[in-house]
Amino acid sequence: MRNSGALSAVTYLFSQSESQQHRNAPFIFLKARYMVELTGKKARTLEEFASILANAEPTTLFYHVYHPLLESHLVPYEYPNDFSFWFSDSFQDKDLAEQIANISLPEKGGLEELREILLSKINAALERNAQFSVRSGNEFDFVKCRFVVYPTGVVAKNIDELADGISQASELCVFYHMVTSRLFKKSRYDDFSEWILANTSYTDLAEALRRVDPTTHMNVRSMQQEVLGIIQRYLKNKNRSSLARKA
Amino acid sequence: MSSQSPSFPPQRVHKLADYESIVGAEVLEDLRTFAENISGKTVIHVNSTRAGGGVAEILFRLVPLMREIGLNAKWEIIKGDAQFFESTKAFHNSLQTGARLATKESFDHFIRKTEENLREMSLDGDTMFIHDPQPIGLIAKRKSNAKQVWIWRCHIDVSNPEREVWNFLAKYVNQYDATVFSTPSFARSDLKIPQFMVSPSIDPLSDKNRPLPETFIDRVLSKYELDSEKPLITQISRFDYAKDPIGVIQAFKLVSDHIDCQLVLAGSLADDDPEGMEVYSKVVKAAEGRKDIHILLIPPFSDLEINALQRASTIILQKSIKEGFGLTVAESLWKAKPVIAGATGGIPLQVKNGLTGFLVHNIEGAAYRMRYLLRNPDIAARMGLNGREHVRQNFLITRHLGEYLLMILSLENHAKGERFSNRFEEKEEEEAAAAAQTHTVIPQTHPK
Repeated sequence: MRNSGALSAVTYLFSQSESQQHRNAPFIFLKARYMVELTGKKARTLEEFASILANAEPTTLFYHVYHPLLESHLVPYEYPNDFSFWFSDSFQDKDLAEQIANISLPEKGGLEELREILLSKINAALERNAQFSVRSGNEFDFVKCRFVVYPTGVVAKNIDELADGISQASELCVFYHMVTSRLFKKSRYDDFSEWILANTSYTDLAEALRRVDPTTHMNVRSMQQEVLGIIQRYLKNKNRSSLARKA
Repeated sequence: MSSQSPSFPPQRVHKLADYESIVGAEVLEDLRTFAENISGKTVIHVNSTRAGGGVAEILFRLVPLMREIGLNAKWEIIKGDAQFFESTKAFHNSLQTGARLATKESFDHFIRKTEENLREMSLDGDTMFIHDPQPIGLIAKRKSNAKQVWIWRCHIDVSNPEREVWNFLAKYVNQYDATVFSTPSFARSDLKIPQFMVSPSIDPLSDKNRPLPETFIDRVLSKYELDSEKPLITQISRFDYAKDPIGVIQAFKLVSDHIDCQLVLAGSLADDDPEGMEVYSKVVKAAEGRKDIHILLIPPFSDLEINALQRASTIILQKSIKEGFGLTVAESLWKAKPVIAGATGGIPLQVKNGLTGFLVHNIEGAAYRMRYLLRNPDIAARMGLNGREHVRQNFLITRHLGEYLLMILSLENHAKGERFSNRFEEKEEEEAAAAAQTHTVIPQTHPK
């Protein structure tokens, strides 16, 4: 008998009694690979776009807004996400394209918060774009995604090991912890910040990392460098203060 | 007639480790991680030909790699007579063009031959990949084995199909566990099953794509009486109306009025494509009297010669009107050649307009872009390098293999009915269930 309906997932087979955000648990570096799933939904007008977006699955928003960061473009595109690029390139509304480009990670509402932000901007643009329809072949094709999360084999028991792990982590790993996990947990904190809060006294560091905005980076390496820079500067200042006190 | 697994042509089959210098260690490590969880599973690919066309080319490489990482991978070919392939070609053209080309007899004969194949083929893999419409009816075998996963892998454009043919095929498609298309624009809103997107790929180590000595390239040029001093514009494809070879000739004639150059249209005839010879004849006639236009009918498996022609080219054309993915585009980009191509199918995924080549919509557009690149070799060179990197990151066989493995993992575990309990537990029951539908988690098997 054929299974119907949405795909279910593999059970997490190895015991993980505590999440990495819990106190006294090591940070487990994970990564994810993403499979694109097509929806068959296309938009030619802004009204169609808004209607599809309003009912789209969360992974649709995730993929179109944040996945471009992983796609290693050779030449930086003018707009950081699929929506803003289409609004500029095909829909010819650069005003709306810029507004959609200027969207950071949602504070704590996750992808539903993102949906509300996007729809508010698009609905505001509806009046001036009510009649415009793109040419056949230039429609926006909405996709969604599924992702597979798996361990890298690297763990960190303290802040130094965390920094080492981040330094050597692949783009997939950094992206997962900084973007994917945060969005789907609906958290204000990425995984690194959350672990730091739970396992160290470095609350300032956690706040500084939380403010890293992935959407302002053209690729994950750049974001990774920013994260490392923040950690390294913080720890260096901490050490300097500590030495000064001893002196 | 009984089906049998085809033997591979006598090319070296590469190991995964051979790709490390190109794609990096992380990619290979991830492939091994995925494969560990489905080791020993039987995966069977079924298509209609092992000679000619992009599907066969991919399977020649993919199946051995699947075996290497621990899958019991097989490749089966369906049987069909001339009338069957006429029918399926009519389906193919009806799907891609929207024209009504299939007759009642087309459907009837398709069903008859499908039933013959069902009687003769065992089709007992854990995962079945059925490629394109020709073997689509084999899903009927599924009734006897409910634990199987059946995937319909569609390599052609079905975004605006002729309605009768699509409705006929959709009845089969909706019996599959999932379908795979090459590009988002091919997705259907009337399918009830998951639709994945997996782009086809090239093998950078195959004879079609590996580096070649200049002396070999020169010999190929001499063999086909091509001038090694003149700019060479090349289109390499099956002789098929959808590739618009006549349009290519017309565009070239506009260019050659201004710039001294030469055109090559090269391709082979696939045994499941009865229309090919008709198209070839028309192309030869269109080039009549022109010493600067070379129409080359190249036998199947002439990979080294195709490789040489692409490497010798100044510009590569793929002026398709309809296209599935367009593997020749990725091949050409891999050789750092700028590509001028029709903005159709999967081509825009590969040709990023102005970055790796140009997308064109008509004969005049193709002609203009040819003149532009011939007059601006620095820009052409830069586009070529961009294209190579774009392919390295997105269209190599290692990525293709990884996506199939992920799909098998997801679908096989769905078939087992396992549910996900994950680290993103939400307070609400509904949110936890929703997260479970999108996450698959693989255990850590090799702690560092």
